[in-house]
Amino acid sequence: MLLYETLRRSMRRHPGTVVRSSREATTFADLLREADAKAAALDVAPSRVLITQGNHPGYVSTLLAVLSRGHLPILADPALTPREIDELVAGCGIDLLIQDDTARPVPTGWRGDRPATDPRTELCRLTSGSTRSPGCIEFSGEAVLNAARTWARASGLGPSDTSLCFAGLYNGLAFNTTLIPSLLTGAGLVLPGGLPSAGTILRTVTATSPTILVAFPAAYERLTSRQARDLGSDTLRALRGIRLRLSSAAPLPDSVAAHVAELSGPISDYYGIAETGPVTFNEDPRGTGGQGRLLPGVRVTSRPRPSDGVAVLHVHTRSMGTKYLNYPGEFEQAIAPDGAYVTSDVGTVTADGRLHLEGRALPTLNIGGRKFTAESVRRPLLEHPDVIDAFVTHLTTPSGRDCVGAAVETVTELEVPKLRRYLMDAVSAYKVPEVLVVTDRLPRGASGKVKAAETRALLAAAFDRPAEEEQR
Amino acid sequence: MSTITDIAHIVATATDGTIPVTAHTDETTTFAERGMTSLAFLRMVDALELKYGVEIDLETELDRLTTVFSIAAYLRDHDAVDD
Repeated sequence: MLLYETLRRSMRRHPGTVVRSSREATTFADLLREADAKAAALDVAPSRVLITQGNHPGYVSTLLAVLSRGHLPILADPALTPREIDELVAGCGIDLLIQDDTARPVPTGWRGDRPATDPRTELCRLTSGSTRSPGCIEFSGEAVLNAARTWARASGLGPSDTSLCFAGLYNGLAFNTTLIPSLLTGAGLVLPGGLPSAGTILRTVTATSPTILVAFPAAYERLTSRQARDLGSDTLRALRGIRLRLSSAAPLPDSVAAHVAELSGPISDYYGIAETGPVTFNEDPRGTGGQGRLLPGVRVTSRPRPSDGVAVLHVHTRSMGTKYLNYPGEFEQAIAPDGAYVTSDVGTVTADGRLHLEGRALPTLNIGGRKFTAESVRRPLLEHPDVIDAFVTHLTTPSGRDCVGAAVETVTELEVPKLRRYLMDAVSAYKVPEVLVVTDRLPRGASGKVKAAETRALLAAAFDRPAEEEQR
Repeated sequence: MSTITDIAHIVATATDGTIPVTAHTDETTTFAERGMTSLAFLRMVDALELKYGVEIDLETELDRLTTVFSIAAYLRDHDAVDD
């Protein structure tokens, strides 16, 4: 109960702090009362509760309500499909689902043996980057609070701040830099529920005058569709009143960074790892490159991996996860003898404590800041009865956007929209390939292995021809 | 050009041609089924706002922007186009 008691105590110190959605405003005091009301529906035996609410002030009261009754909240992407939720329910032994702001828990009906949690675990979040289906990371209350306190100190977050957050609150970027730090420090929150088009961002910034903007690279890329000369003075004033524009440390084109710098100011990098929490902060990446300085209490070294000798980053923080609930033993295998988490990231730390990432030792797709493996898309494709094989890869569109491409070898004629509908039921929308090509034979070498370059060329050709031709 | 053709061009540009202008004649297959990602969708929304001067509320109006024809109906309902 450390997490709940600490958050409640902090919020009671700042009862008037405002938390807004696009349409309504509430306060910490109101949210604490709302949490008590929601908790009445949670007076059941200690349960594992999957929360897939979208961003909304009610997310705060739901989380507090779940924590207040000693339940284990598992925070997840609202984009999860029913099939992905079923996998998590079975893998983690989840008892209840909360999917909307009524916080009405829906029993999953799960019965049977389930993996034990660590005695210190108070909250779980998911990762999808290093395992086939999302890994459920257990965190102690102390780890969650350490991540938030470290970030709040590094960014100077306080009651005079208001964070406008377009990143999902379940995600490390928003959870570790915005949700918990705001509740601890009394900083205000603006939590729009919709997607971040340029129009939505600019209208919300104008209406709420935030001091901090938290969003994934895709949102900043959208701002390039608006020029300063076309914006009203209120909007420009609000944009230039933002003291910190925060993004995950995903690649951001120089042109986007320069455009946002002109409209508002530089985009700062947050680099965190799901399993360890915040690692670095780069307030102004222009000219310095890299991911910025290590946060206080963070140790990073680069050491060869025993399996293949590739030098990967070993990261130790005060906000480390404990284990994967649904993959017993896997987290423990990734912990070095000195307690550091062995990542799949390749990079170096300079003598003055700056981290420079150089890539990943694991093939990971990164689309608009969401990281996942090609295998997490290929696997459900292979489960389709008419699919023989599939090749999933990253593509860059002619306008420079990142997207997912998949070439699929099938036994029969298969219409692309139908295959896409099948995938939309199986995986989250952001994993569904934008370019999907069905063929009766993937390009293969003499050994039978799919030829990657030829298959990528096959996929890239989809940008130049009518969609009708995708279907053979 | 007609409104339908204008919108079809916006869609084709937003998707880098993966949903070509010619695809708009199919009224039943949604953008999502044609592979439009959320990133391409946002590009389309911004282009529509700029061209037609509408403010699109993505919390409540997502379901109205699923095909070229549904966008045309949405724009008519908001008095952004005549035809």
